[in-house]
Amino acid sequence: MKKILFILIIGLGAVYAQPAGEKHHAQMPLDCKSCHVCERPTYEKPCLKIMPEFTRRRGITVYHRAEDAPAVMKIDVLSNLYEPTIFTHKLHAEMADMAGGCVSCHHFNPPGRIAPCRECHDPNATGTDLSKPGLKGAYHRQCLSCHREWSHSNECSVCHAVKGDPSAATAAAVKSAKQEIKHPKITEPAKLVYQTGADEGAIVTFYHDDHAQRYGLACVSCHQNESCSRCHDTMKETAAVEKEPHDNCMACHAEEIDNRCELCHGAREKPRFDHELTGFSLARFHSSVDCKECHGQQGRRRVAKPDASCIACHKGWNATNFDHRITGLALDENHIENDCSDCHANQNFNAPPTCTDCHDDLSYPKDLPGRKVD
Amino acid sequence: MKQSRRDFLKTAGILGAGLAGLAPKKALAAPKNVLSDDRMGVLVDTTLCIGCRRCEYACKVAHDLPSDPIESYNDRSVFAQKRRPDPSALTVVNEFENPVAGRASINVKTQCRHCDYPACVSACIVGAFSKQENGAVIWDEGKCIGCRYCMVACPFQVPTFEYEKALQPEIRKCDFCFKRTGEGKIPACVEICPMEVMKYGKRHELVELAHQRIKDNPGRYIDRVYGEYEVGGTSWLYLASKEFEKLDFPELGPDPAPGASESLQHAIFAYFVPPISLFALLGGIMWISKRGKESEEE
Ligand code: SF4
Ligand code: SF4
Ligand code: SF4
Repeated sequence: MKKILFILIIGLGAVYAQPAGEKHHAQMPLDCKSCHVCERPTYEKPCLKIMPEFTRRRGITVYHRAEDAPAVMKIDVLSNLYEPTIFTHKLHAEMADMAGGCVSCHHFNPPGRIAPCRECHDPNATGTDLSKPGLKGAYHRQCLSCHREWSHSNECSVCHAVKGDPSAATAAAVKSAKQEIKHPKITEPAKLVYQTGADEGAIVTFYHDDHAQRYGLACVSCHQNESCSRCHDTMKETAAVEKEPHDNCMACHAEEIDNRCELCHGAREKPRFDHELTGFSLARFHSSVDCKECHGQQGRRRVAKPDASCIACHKGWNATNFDHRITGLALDENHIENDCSDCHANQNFNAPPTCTDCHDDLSYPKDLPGRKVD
Repeated sequence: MKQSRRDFLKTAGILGAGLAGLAPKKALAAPKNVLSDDRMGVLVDTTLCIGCRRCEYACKVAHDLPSDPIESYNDRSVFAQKRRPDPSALTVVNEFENPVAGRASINVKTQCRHCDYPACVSACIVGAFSKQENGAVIWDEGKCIGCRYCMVACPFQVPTFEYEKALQPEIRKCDFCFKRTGEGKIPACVEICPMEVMKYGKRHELVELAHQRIKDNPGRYIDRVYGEYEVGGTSWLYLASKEFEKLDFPELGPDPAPGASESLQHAIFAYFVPPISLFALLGGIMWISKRGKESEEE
């Protein structure tokens, strides 16, 4: 009986390929006291603060793309009791990309490199170290917090095959084969139409693609607390509905939520936002410009009304470095060496140019200082 | 149902109290209640528990109680009913629905809380219960006369008797692995838990740790450490993601519970004149049968 007790106690060892030549974090300009409580921390006695928030927020200084992550890891410290556990690391990294990214597992990471779990989480911990879980707890918490939500089971055998179990070899082979399986690309909806319970303007139209692409929000800006079980739940057919839908919009639209319901709520679907309506057409020259190029960035919101005059952004252009042809008008030889302001009075490029300063009888656009091009 | 049984037991306790007055091992010594500054405790973080029930298994093994094979503990159908610790299982795990749709259910392990001012210790008229220096509230089988006072007094409904045995029942409850900890080990349930739901350490450090966790993860926990103040404080402390009352934790004030049972006890001795002949008879039977059992064991 007691033997089985040990079977439950797992200790796992995993090797994570490290980029060579990284500095040890002790050589970095960091205050030791942010994480350690003692003067001389060692690997044996790191005397870490209880959950040093610093490292979670700012500690990770190396970022990998999920595609570059090691494909599989063989976890075999308790190989006397178990067949090794094959952890499909890359697959999990891809899934993590949809939530917190690498940090969701590699939290509290010392700067400079990604540390293997057991550097902090002691494989031989006895449950009395109050500052952090041992390796057993660390691993199980990471795995089971998601796995039990979608399978509603804690079966040890999902990961742990008892040594000598003939089915274990096959299970490991299947998992190894999975290393090239990718998480299917999540198809992003273009538009979502919500039927809300609001008395007036029950319909809310949300242009998901505009928010994700045009306004440049990262998935996690809204999908912060997603769990795998939102999509993967063997006992549910549909994903859970957000409880408080305003929460997601609050960061950028707090003012509208308080005062301008009609911006989102209407009796019918709302059309997509059109910049033309602001009086400044994006057509032709500005459609590919990132919003913040003009609007700057105020917190997460980018709607500060910019100075719409051309020279507000386009400073330093003159007759020699500006190719007038891109405006659709190739200047003729009489005009090509003029100063911009000779025609565009007061550097006002939004208004039609004046011709009368030089020509009594000519005017724009009846007469052109060149010829039209495309 | 439960309530009426407890009412019955209360009466039984009163009878038992009368008996105790005559029993040869009447508690002459005051109940031991050591409150060491360094007493140990356990912090149970219910937000981590996955309901695997390995703690139930380990507890039985550590206490030589019969147990089904470990695989049988994967059976989650036991969660259909709320269970209480009993003589065959000194700790049990219950399950509660998570208020957040789509998130995993909440599991809570329960056992004796090892109160700092244990009602069971005060209630026990023969001094069979004692609070030890390391925080454990333990029970001395040799002194117990089976009056079931402790059972009535305990605010957490922990001590239970072997109902099948009418005359020489044994009371059983979590003993904080008194033997194991004496050997320098940690409690069996703490050791086996795959999620390290429990931390074993000095109580005052655990209180600090619990508040630190709440501070660091305000969204994860409600701002309360159950057991910090309840009934004067308990060695076992709990963290949870939703109100403790919804997880079947009794709503208790900060005053130690024993007061109530003490006055009951004193009232009995002050004003209650037992029908001596009946109690003498019953007490005699109890005493003899207990002795008999002890000599069998020897
Ligand atoms: S062993 Fe740990 S995780 Fe499992 S039920 Fe007990 S306390 Fe919860
Ligand atoms: S929980 Fe009950 S049995 Fe345990 S110490 Fe407190 S009063 Fe005694
Ligand atoms: S401390 Fe020991 S006796 Fe108490 S529940 Fe845990 S294993 Fe059982």
